[in-house]
Amino acid sequence: MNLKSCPPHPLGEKKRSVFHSTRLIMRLIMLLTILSCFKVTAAVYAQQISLNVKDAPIEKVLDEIKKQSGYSLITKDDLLENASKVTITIKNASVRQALDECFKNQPFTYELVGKTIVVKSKPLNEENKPKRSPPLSSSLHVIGKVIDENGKPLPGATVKVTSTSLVAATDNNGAFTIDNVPEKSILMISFIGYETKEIPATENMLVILVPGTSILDAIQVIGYGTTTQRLSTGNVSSVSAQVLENQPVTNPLEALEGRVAGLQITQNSGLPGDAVTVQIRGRNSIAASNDPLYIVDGVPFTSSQVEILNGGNPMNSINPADIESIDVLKDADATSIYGSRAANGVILITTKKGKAGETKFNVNASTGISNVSRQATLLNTAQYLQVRRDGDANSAVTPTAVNDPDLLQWSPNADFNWQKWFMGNTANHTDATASLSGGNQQTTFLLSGTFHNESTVQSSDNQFNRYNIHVNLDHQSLDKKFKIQFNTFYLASNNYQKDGSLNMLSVVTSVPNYPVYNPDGTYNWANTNYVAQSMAYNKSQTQNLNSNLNLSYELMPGLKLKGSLGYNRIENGQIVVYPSTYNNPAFGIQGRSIFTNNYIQTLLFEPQISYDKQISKGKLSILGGATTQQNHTQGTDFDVSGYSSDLLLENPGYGSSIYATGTNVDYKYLSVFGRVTYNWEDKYIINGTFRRDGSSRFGPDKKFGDFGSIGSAWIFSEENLIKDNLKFLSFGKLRGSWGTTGNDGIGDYQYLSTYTSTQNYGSQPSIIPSRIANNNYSWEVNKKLEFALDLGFLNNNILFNTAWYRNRSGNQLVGYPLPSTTGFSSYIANLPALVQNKGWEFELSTSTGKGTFQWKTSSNLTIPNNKLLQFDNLQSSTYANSLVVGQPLNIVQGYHFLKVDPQTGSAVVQDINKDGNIEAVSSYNNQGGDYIIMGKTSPDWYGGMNNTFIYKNFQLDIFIQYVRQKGYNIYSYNYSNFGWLSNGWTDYLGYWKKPGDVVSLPKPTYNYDPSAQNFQMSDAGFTDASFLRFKNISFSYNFPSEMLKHLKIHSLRLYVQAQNMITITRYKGYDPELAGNPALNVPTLRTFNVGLQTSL
Amino acid sequence: MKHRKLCHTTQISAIGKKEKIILLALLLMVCTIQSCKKFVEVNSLKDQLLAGQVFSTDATANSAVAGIYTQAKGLMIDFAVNGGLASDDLVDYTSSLSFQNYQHNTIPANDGALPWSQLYSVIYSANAAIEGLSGNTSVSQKAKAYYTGEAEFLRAYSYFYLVNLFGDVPLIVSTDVTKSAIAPRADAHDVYTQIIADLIDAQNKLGTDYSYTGGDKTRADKWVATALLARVYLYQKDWKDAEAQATAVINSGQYSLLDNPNGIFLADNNEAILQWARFNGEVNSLPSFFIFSNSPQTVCSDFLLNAFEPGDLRKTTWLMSGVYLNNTIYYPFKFTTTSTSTTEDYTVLRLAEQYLIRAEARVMQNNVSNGLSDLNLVRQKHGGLPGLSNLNQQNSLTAIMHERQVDLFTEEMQRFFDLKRTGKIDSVMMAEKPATWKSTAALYPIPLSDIQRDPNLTQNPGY
Repeated sequence: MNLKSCPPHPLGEKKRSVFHSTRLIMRLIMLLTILSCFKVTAAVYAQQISLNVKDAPIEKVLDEIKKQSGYSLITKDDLLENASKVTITIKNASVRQALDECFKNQPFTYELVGKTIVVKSKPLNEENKPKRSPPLSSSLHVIGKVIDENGKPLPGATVKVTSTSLVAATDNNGAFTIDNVPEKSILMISFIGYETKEIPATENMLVILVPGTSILDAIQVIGYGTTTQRLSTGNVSSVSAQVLENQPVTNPLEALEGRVAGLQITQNSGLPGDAVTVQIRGRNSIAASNDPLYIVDGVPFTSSQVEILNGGNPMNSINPADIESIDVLKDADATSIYGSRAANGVILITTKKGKAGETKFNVNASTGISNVSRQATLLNTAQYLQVRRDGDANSAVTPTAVNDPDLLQWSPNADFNWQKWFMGNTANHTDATASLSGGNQQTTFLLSGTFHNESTVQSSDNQFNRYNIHVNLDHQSLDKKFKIQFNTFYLASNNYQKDGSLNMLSVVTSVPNYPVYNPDGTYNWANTNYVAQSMAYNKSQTQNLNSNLNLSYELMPGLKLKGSLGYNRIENGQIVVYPSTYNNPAFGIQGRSIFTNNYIQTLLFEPQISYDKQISKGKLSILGGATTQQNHTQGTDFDVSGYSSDLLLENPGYGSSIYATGTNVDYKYLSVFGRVTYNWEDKYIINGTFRRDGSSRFGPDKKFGDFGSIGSAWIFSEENLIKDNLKFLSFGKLRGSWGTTGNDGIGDYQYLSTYTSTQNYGSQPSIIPSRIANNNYSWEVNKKLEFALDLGFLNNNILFNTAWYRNRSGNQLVGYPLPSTTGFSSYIANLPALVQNKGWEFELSTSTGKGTFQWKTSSNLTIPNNKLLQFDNLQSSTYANSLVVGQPLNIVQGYHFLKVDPQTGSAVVQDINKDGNIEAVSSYNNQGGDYIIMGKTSPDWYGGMNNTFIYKNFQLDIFIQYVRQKGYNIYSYNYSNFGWLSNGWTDYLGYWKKPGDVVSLPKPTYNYDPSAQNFQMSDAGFTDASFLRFKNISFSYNFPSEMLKHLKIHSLRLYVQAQNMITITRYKGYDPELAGNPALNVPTLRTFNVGLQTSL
Repeated sequence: MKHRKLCHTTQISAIGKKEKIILLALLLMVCTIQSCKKFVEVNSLKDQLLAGQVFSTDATANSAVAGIYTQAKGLMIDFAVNGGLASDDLVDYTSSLSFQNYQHNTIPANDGALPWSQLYSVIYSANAAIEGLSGNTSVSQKAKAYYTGEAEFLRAYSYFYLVNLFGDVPLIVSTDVTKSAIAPRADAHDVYTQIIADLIDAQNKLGTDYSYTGGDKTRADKWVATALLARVYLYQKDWKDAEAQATAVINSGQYSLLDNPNGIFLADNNEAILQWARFNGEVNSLPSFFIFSNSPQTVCSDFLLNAFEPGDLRKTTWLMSGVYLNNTIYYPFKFTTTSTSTTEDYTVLRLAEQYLIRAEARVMQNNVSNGLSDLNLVRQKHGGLPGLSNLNQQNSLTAIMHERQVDLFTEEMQRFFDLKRTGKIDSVMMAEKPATWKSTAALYPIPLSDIQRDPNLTQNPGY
């Protein structure tokens, strides 16, 4: 391939106009595609220098070499003054050849440092020693350049003369100049994300910085920019790709469980594609959304489910293997720039990018199995039948064939394990990712594809498949002024599951000797036949296309214009099929299928302008920008029934009756935002943000809102007093922030009074009122305050962070529950209530050992405190029975269980109001009932601890998650049915049997027994559900590179992973993680995974 | 190298342009901000109608009224099945907890099947239609009168069930949420006053031959409002007015009793006064709660079964039997199929009831012989039974009650309400359900969630 035929566009022309730039981009993209196809490396590109000049000034020749090679140049102007003219004719020569030719007869020489040409004076010898006398002053005029390990210049690096107050920042080419530097002084060069370097000053310096290994200096992605933990004024927690890679999870959010202080993640069930609840620093809103704002590569990503039926979490449509980092923004300083959507925090997901260097081919493949992490034990048939007999006796009922078919008709020897049938399967999964990446100084690329497949614990036939393609292209012009980034991933998934209406509690508590089949082989419909009903299934297909293009251009040093275009479309099609066998044939109900299609499309345009300038000893950074965003949601739903045959249930045309509904909604969003940061010598930093938001979700006069924050940090370890006296303290920072954010997490058009279509009445189209309208509501406002102390000891091998936060969320935007006498169950309104989330977060990371053995830990602990501070007229509000001022929002109310009456066997609960009756109403807020606060579903504290042991080529990671909380236990499931035609758990067996028994479980009864109901609703059913879980154990072996060299393999890693391996808990029930949810769901899974990763 | 020079000059001029570019960018931003308000405005909706547009044409107003019927139609299963279990029509064989609760009259206040919220949804839609049509000049005069009348009928129908099921209930006649959210319970008498006012107004506004709304008997007409008014007066023990209204329906010339029980539940039969319409392909789900093929669902109680006189055609036509555990059990078979066929329609009001209303009203006014002739007409035509004569007032009443039981079973809660309004519920139920009946069960509980949400709402005794 001849590169000459497709050269980069000449630099000069590109500067003329932006329009030329686009042409350039097109060409570059074409070039890049060709490059990546042919595996051309940077080396080839760099070696093709062709020159044909006669008596040219050396500057011009060097410029040309720069241009053709992509190398950069450092020189001192006066050095070239004495240069002689150059005459060269070469073709396709190497850089070195060209330079040798060029410098042949010059009074100076050059040196190649990485990809930088440094022009320097010839070594002094007697002959060419200057005749001048040595300089009078002993100060130096230092010029230099700061580059990274790949020779890429680092603009904006800070260069400081330690003994003086002299400071400089590098320009766009990484170059800097400082005058009057005293001889023998030390220069300290620092740059975000890189290790700070201290070296003696010389006249001509080339400084190479290496990326920081300390967590302190790792890049953190923040809203519209980046920072590091060292310099951040806000609270940002970052999770790296490696943490994700260690965990065999389907949804990337699951990998964050317990990893980040202040971030609480709970799975809804162990079925693939199911919902996940995410809360950053607790529940802020009584009724509006408590989901954080998700931003994927700069594009806001929906948090609402895209599936109309049996909805899951949209994050299932993001491939964990594509993710480079997940950054969790928590406080006002970090989140205010996202304004009205950031009240619940922000989760930034950044996907992987290509890296300059040799083209690499990576493959990662793994496979494994999963089963339910915890099962409970149900009664066997003999035990169950005894309960039934006792129940009949307790209700003085004589068993009859009608009332007690299980006792009198069905076989006492049959013992069907419904639990095993429902979720006892061992699920399999397979993952494979292949990626190709590489590039040179100007252009990098990444292409990757991922395949994921898993079956479920319900059935091996149930499958979740996911295919994903990810493309990333980065390019910058030779002079680094123009940059373009293009990033796209496309993901398609197929989820084939049992229909979600199969309720776990109903199924597992089915009568164990229930004959599923009649003697003639047909389904027995004496009761609901769950085996027949399990034939109903749900096929769901989701596609997610996320694409963004960033263009930036540096107008003049420090001043950049940037434009981002983002596009996301997530689309789902579903077929839920209920064959005719789903229903009792007696009803003659024919097959029915529901066909849905729904998509959410986001279009985003964000122009930005940024300006960086060194002012005095500080660096000023200003960012301004605007956002326009349009979301369009459109869906159709066809409910088709009357299929005369079950063979064509997936064809909507075959049913005899179609009921269609649809949605078609626009959400528009517009804002301007800005940020000003002033960093004084990396010691004092102040940061202010502002955003004005307009949203179509609010009524005519309530569309706009202003949000802002101020944050500051004092890195006191930079103070000489500390430096000199507290040597063990390698880093110390105090920071604080205050600001406001908003929440518009309610549906669209809620301020409008509308009618929506419903089933036809006969042949007439029908419409009904959609809601009670209220056009007076506006943003929910969350005021966030935070103080934090970050400390680093022993050269930052120990880092300890403490943060205290207080978020107060007012103007609560709620689907205010209404009595149904109004015609509706709720309407949207602002409530004069104030919710406070206050808490402490601690993070500790340590690192010991170098070389063969290393041990790293990272732990976090969060002590949250959620409280309803104020609620005017609560007692006459619709929340009188559910909320209590001074208590958390997530309180659970119920009876206080006292004892089981030894004489009658009935449960006795406390009659709080002493009126002789037991009322299922709160005893708070003058409600006059008997409910007390049994506890809350949010945890008292939670956290995690990761240990990484590295010995030679072995690495072992153990991650432990711990949560202290209360939850709904086994007695809250169905104790009120105890003695009925439904099974219970072996824990129920200690029930009252005869007068005089002093036990804690009431008797079973044949009839409805209010006392059993009271028991189920009491604090006997809501107890400790704390747990400590070995969430992840990951063991890997890296084959030594010497061994691999012969095989021409860069790296080869074998790994074994286990998820949810061991859970230590006293909780009675299924999964303590799901204990806060009163509905019983399939527990989270225990997963084992084996894999292999290689790079060629 | 010439090329290089060119670059130099453009670079210099570009510096001059920089300010312009910045200016342009700033200008662009300002423009964007200026157009902000427009950008975030939603001018028209694509999948919903703005309320203001609904009553702007006859067609959309018609759709809004049709929507109220769709809402009201949803109550039929509640009334037939749960109502049948709560009285003495039906016995549950499914062991469903909810059905058991209704059968044993131990309905918890948080029961999801309570028809309360659905009835109030109908009322809200009716109120919205009445308000939307009032003073409206965009729709035709005829549409305005007719649709208002229909909405009033549906509001009256809903309040009739509310007041009979729950006792004193909040009386809401506007869409104003600030009032409806805190409404206290109104005296049952006031609720009845509103029902009567609505029905009389509906009578005046509605036509007399169903023609305006399509011809079949699925939308309210004058006689529909009249038939319900006759029932309301009967419940109010206003015998004279009950007789007058029933007579008006009987003499309207629109209806006639069928000669045998076959066909009474067919769509548009001569006896039907109002039937709920099914859309093309909609399954008639009600029969699935009765029809026994593999296992019984809800079946006829022994009390109902034993109530039929020998030879009553209704027993052989409207009941079907099946054998379960060596016992023959009977289940309601007024509807014969769950298919999507529209030959059978769920019947809300029919002429036989009007004859029985008039019979009772006449007997109560000591016009026993005319009362008995009304009764006998139903007995002869529907039951194929001989006429009754020479009965005193009390025995005539007993005969009429018995006739209502065997003719109107599992229809619109007639049996439950008959027992209540005649004051016989305690004596009958105590005898039939001695283990579970409590006199407080004559009223359903007010839903717990509403008690929690409306500070002025109180619970019925016994819950």
